Amino acid sequence: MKLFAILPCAVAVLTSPAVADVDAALDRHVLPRIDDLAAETRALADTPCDAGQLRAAFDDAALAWSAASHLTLGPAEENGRARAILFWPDERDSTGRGLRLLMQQGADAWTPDAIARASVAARGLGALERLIHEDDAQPCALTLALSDDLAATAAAIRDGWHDGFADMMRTPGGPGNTRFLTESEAAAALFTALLAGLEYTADTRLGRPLGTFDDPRPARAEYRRSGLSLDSVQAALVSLRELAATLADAPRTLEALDRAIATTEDLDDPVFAGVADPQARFRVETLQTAVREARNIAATEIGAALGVSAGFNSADGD
Amino acid sequence: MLSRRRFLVAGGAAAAVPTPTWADLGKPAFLAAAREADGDFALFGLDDTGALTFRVPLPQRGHAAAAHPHRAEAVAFARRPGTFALVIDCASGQVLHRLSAPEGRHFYGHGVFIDDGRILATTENDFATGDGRIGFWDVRAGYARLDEIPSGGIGPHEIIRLSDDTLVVANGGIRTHPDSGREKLNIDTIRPNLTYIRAGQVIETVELSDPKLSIRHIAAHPDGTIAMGLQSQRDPDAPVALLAVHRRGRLLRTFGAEMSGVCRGYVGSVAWAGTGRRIAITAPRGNRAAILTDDTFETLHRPDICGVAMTRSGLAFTDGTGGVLTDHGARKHPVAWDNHLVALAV
Repeated sequence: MKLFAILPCAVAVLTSPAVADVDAALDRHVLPRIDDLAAETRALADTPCDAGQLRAAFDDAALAWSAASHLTLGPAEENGRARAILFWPDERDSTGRGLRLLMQQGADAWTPDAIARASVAARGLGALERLIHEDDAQPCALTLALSDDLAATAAAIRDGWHDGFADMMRTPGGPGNTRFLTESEAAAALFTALLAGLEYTADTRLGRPLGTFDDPRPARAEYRRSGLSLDSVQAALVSLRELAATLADAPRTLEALDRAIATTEDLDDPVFAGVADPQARFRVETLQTAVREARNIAATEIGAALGVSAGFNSADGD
Repeated sequence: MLSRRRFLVAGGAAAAVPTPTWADLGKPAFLAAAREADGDFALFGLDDTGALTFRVPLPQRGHAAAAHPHRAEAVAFARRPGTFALVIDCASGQVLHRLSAPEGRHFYGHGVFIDDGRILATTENDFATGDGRIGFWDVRAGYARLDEIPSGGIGPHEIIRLSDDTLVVANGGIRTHPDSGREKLNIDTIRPNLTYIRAGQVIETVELSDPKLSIRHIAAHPDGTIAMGLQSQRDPDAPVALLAVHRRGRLLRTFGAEMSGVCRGYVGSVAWAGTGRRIAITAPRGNRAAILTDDTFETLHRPDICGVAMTRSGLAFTDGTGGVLTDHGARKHPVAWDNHLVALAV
């Protein structure tokens, strides 16, 4: 009931294009970030088999995904593509097991077709991080095959956005477009991606290594092998700020995101190794709190304007 | 025990009074409850294009409705563990009768008319023992309580009828008690089942191989094959079946484990399509419906999609953002459609 109490004024605001600008969000955030992912993964695939060069290219590709991983709607969720880009969290070391199997199978299993059929856990950035950052990119042919496969997955996501999905969001209610019936539905889908990205960053990217006070789990940090855990959080927050800024006129959300981004800059703990130390842990928790605050402010500020009331049925549980 | 003779006695008890029929209401194709923009709740009739045909207010959020086969009467059930159901004259909007669950019982939110509309059957909880019950109500006697029988399990949820008035009950297996609201009291030991009941007697019971999958919503093909929408009581990421299909005397088959992660192991409604052998399940937590043809699912993306019903030529869906998708296209209403879309006789 409370959700609707704020609607009368929200509806008036909704008529202003500044509140939910799907075109701006697509042109100035979604498509550039997806293009960047495709370009950086292609650059990684084109890098010669030199561990130093591959590490630099891997880091660029990994952070390009951190800046695009919230865009799970549409092409990235089809055919399990998001999981094929990065299989994480990996509770049972499925990536390690899948990679060992690929190595045992030998070069015959490293063709594009065979890789595309391999366990999703053995593909993508998780497997490449181990090979490039832990094994000096050996065996070379496997590293190149996996990076080619990664680039192909990212290219499929890029093509899906450019060849249909973005247009579907721009033309809600068009013939056969049951996915987006109104402009506010397309805006709501992007808003949901914003909230989900913030929740994932707080609960998973930060929450998994934090574990509990009595049971901190630093070894669970995303990209700990490449030392990119904190960089990934920062790249995600900067990208989510970009989405918020293009989607809506939301000054309080941007301020809250700026505070969270500033917290990442002050945090001198690249793989969250400090979560087991009470003093250092507090600083990671402070970052997590800042991200959650940004999420809650975005939910109120932008969600109210869009009239989004999530989960009438999904939360019912009957 | 409700015998055939009792049915006939019940049927002959009242004189025929002219009452409005569904045709008098512009032939709605569906019933659906919704929350309106101002926070009020109402029951709506929709035609086969998704346009509204009538609106009657509800005092609070409902769950499902049961439509009388002839009279323009619908029974709106409170959400579990509600103890009342309202019989609504959909022509006037008047509450004709208020059904109160007997002492020691509460409703589970679903019911169905049998015996050509003379009897209403409701799923109920005998909460002292946790046994599921089916209550019978005499329509012509002003919905007087007639009788009750065991449902064949714990936590009966949706109940439907086959063309020969066999009742089919989804015993979800989850024990609850009104003192603890919707808290699940027996998750470690649940054993859901699908029970077929004819003339008050259980004639067949089937279980899934995985007892942690609660059978909550069911739909019948005209040939008697039952589709079951499942709700996992495991980790939402665990791969589990979302849909089971059973025909009496045959082996049960399950589908959808590859989608259970994105659907969070939770199916909200299930329906057969009006043509072909297609089955739709809705997954509001995955913001999608999935339509099974042979062994392949096709995905339909809609936010908070939950209601689904058979139409003459296919399927219709409703969602929590007001969307209605039918064979005639899509519409959007300024309401949040509640869990279920109920098809009137097609």
